[in-house]
Amino acid sequence: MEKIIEVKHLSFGYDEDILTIDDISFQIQKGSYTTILGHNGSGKSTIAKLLMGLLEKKSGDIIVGGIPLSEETLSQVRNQMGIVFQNPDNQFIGSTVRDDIAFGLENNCVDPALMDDIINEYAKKVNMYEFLDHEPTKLSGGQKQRVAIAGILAMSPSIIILDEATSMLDPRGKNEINALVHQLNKDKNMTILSITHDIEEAALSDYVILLSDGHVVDEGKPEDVLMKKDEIERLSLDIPFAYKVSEGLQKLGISITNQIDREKLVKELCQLHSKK
Amino acid sequence: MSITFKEVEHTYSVDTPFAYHALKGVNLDIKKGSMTALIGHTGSGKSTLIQHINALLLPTSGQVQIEDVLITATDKPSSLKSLRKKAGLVFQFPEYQLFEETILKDIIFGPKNFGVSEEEAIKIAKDMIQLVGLDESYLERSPFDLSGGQKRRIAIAGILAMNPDILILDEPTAGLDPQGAKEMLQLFKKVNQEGKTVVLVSHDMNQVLEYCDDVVVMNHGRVEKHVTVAELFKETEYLTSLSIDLPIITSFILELNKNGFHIDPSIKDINVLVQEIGGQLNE
Repeated sequence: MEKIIEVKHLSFGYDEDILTIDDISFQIQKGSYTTILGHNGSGKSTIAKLLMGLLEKKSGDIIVGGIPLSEETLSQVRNQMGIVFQNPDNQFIGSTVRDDIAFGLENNCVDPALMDDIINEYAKKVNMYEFLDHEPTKLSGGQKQRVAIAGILAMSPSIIILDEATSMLDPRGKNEINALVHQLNKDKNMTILSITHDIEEAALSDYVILLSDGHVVDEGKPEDVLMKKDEIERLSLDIPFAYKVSEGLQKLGISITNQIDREKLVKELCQLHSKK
Repeated sequence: MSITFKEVEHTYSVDTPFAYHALKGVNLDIKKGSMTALIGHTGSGKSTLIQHINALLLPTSGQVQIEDVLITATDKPSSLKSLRKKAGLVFQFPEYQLFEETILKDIIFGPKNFGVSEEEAIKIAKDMIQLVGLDESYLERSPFDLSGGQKRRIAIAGILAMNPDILILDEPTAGLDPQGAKEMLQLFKKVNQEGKTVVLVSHDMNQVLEYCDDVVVMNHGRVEKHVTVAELFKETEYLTSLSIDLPIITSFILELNKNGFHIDPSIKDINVLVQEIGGQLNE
């Protein structure tokens, strides 16, 4: 595996004397779906902003696609990433869907003759082609987030950062975004970095980074990290549903594997049931 | 009944090109002392509906009765103040509504406006801060130095300090971590068990299943269903048509039942589920 993001001894504080991010190091593999989990105030969103160069680090290194982030390389680093924030209303800039997708292209001095084709292509990708001339007031939260993703895709980044991007959406909007992001990860091999509280989403990801009070307290494959019950509860997070069930059944003397994946647990339970 | 809607219509910007028919013939009876979830997609009319409960919006036609107060298009309640005291509305992200220098001042603002003496209001504030899980030392601090979850508790303490009979909450746990969300919902359940009527707008069906008694489903400005929680989650096809996910525990039971298990899909408690699966495997 090839690493696409490398963070080394990163520190940052909003105030002079308090470190919100305190000597953090981690790596993200190319093409992976990585989740950063942590309680409110753990520093998750601050990390996203530091990676994008929206905040200036106090010390340490951020290397994206082999390029160390600095004032000189800011645009090179940013071009590799796109970020979708929590509130769909705060990131819609254009007066129509078309204008919104065009915004980033114009900023990147894309030839205006090519722009229409690019906009059409990416609007189709996120199923918003028929809405190109609609105003944001006529769109749902999920549709606005899809437009944000189209704007990002039009810039051809290799990484998408989701900063609790579905937490303000209704169930339909949430499902739309989750499906799109998974498709981009599987079919286009895009690296996804999702900042979330959703333990069930983390259970299905490739890699989990657990954050608490500005420190990485654990990281690894979800099946290794999310089964540490005491640690997860101490961090104000929830235990995956499948693990609660499999652990409970073991206590009843039933021979079953500890699981965090519900589908696998259903499969195993049904096999046990059919062997009765 | 605590809250009654009769043939309520609401149109925004009537007689303009921007007119929008948000509520269409809404009939609804919410039982006194119940904890009722209000669900439906963005644009289904949920927010319009809850703003009628404390007369922030008036019906275009039809009538809304909140206990003994009647609201119609032409009959504004004679005393809005008494209605606002009866029904406390907590908007999404209530922490944005904090404004005072100290938490104490923020919490006593409401009761003092309703004629409670300063001394009595301070006493109420001391009780409320504990009720929302913080201690009295917070009262002298600035609300702006707190974390998002703590700010939200303070905003809710401010509403509870007015001792409303009805508490209406619009997505009160959005953006909170799981532990914070759980504590918040347990607080609302406690307030409900002490006799208050609670209306909870939520997109999280796990919360609806665990904490609510009844569910109102809004779709395209209409109340499509008003049923018990157990009844709602039996209607899997209907929920799928609205793209509403089942609670995790319910969909898990249905998957097991497709493959030979016979488990009651209305089970809410994971420990009961574990016992049930264990029992069927050991039969």
